Amino acid sequence: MSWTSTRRPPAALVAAAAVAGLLVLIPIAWTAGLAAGVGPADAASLLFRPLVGELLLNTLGLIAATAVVTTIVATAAAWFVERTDLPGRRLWAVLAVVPLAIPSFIASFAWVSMSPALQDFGGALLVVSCSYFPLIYLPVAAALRGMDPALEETARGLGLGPWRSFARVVLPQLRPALLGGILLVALNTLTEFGAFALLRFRTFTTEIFAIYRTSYDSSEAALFGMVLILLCLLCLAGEQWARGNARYGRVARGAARRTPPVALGWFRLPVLAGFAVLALVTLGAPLGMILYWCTQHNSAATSVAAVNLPALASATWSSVRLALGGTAIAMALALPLGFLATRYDGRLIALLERTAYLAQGLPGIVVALSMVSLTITLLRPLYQSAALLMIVYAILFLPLALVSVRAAFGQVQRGLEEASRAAGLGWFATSLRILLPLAAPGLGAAAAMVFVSVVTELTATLLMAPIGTRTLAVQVWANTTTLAFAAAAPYAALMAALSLLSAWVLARRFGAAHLP
Amino acid sequence: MAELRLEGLTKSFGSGAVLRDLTLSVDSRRLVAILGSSGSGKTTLLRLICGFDRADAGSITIAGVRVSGPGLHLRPEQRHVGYVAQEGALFPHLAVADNITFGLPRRQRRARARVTELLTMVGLPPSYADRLPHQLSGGEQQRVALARALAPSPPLILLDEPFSALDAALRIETRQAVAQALIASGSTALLVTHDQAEALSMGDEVAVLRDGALVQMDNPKALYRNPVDVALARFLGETVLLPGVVAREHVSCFLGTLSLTRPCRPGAAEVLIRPEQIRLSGPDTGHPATVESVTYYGHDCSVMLALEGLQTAVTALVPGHVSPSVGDLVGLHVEGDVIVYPVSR
Repeated sequence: MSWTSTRRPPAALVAAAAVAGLLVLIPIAWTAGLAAGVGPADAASLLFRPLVGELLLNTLGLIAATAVVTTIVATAAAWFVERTDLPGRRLWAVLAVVPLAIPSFIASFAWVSMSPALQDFGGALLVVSCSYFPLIYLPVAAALRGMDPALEETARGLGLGPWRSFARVVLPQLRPALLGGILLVALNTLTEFGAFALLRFRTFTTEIFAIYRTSYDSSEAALFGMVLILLCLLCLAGEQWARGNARYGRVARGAARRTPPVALGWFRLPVLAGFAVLALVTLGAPLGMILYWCTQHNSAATSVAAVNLPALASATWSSVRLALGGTAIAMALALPLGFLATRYDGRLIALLERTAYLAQGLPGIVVALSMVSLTITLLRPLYQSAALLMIVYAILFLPLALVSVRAAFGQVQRGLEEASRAAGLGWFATSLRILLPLAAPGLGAAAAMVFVSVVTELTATLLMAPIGTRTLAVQVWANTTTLAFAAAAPYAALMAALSLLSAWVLARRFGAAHLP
Repeated sequence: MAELRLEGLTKSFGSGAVLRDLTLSVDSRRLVAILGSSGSGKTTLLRLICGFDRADAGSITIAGVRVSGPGLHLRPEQRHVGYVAQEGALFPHLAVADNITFGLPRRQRRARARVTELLTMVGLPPSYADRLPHQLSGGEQQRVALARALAPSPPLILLDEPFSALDAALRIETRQAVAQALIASGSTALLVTHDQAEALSMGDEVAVLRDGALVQMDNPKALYRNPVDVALARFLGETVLLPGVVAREHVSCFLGTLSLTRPCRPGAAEVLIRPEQIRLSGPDTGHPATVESVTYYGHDCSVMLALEGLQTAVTALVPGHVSPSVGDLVGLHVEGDVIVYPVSR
């Protein structure tokens, strides 16, 4: 691999990658600029007041409660799936991940429509825990799978019972995975808007939206936005740090043996019941509620709004069209950066890549508002255009595209490209004839994942969709906020179906290897 | 007194028997090497003794306490067996000292009891106590793993191919350090290996497993000199096999009349000669032979010889500094007693 570090990356690619980095920085810089315009005295009086304390308490309290619930549920689920003879482990493993494919504002629509009592903190805790516990389940299950069984056996041999060897050997090694997962949950909770707005739970995102809607005061919104960005970046940095420590490094090389699974005996019945309840709460209830409302006549809902086939088709088309555009831009930005990051070393490339990943810590509402304010001020023709919304999609989902593009490129053996270069082809011809064909399935998966994420995006769409454009997400939102649950249901069902279907196709093609 | 006694131990996975009616005992302060190729059941044997798996039949007694038998299966933590896994299995989140004291009561863990003593015993400097496992080489990890197993002074230490992941130079060094530590601590140990040189050089006794059954258990010298059958002889080292006829204490074969390592009934037999028993001289004495090929190893070399009137080639192992050249005419002599196996008719 030494050849990579000594060679200079193609200038055209570096320029293309720089565009990606700059795009991510624009909303941050613009928000910071607006916030700086407030002035120190006003900023202090805006920030140090009971409302901010309440928002902070709400948000941090929810994060803490969610962390506790999801850690316990996800760790237990992962341990039972990975380490015991629980019947149907493959099925449970899949069902534990599927909630990720249901947009959390769809889940919250379902719960809210079930009972208005499910609002505020309790409802938020339920929805967020259900939606995000896979974020902890996945790394913990992977850590359990990668752990050398000889470690536990050695602890048993040294006189520790099963519980104590779990506490002293297994748990400490799960710590990095748990920490990383919890920070991801925190990050998602901080940036979530739709679910909380529907549940009437006040956090920074909902407050920023409220400020924007009531006063159009972009500097006050920007100030709150900066606070939120800082909290998010803190989580992001923590997550990166935890991931860096995620592997204590398997000290020894060689393939891990598989341990004989722990026999549950009669205990399998309560465990099975637990998994059934988990699937019912995380999947059965939201999907069931959507289906229920689909079968209800409009008048059965709390208020009436017309839904018809043309409206459904038009919303679908709007969603798909915008998502295709956003995906195309995100992929166009991710490809050069991903190529450089896997094929060349260098400080500039590492910096650009880091910058692109910052977008993961950018709340959709902050990016959307800053771009709205920027275009109003500087680029009037772009304001409320479909193109601008697609660019914002690309910024928001650039990290997702980049991770997947990197993985796709990383799977192509470098030796093949070296052979092509040795045969006399340049980097462009080599990429065209060797790299892209070999990485194509992975790149396709990357595009599909970005597409699904964009289709189910709510916040930016809500704020930026061109006048008259009503996407699926906007329709769910509009109907739910007016309590027209039956009218929202077909749109929600379509989104959930789209999301689940793509997740299923992706898992079938690319994810099967991860299952036990 | 036997520290470990296995009686009639049997274990199957699915339809395949992995251990068949294994009976074996290890005396106190002895190191017994269990030698077998992969699939011979040797790792299963260790896992049964540790209590990670449960035997189908038979019993296991450790230091006079029956830990496994009909209707009885003590859990691993109740058996107090020191276990050194294939790749050490050091706890990656704990420093060397915390790894070593892992199995001790809390107060002794706090006091880092015996850490220096044990590190010295396995041949590591006491300054290693604060290092993390990933800062150690493979051989050092194995030594720490042994120290950890020795710390609670268990009656029995089990070592599961502890050197197989190490490269050649490190392996010999680590082997010696481990053997010395086991002797210094007065341990009784069972070492599982597929490497015959390792088994012969480390074991006070070597037990050979084949298809889950004990083929032979003996001290290394007796085992190498008198393997029970041809297959075992071949497993233990290179062989030259010739047809011969036994009469009284001798056997006549193509290479002359040779004396026997053990008595054998008269009649047709297979004569087994080790390549290192074959000496070469000038062409004037001994059986005339032509050098067909030479594989040179440095310290010695393996010489393939063609003998007129003999179909198969004969292999001789000679010191490197007297390595002949291909095409040389040499004289061939057999040194020492040979092993014979009667041919059944």
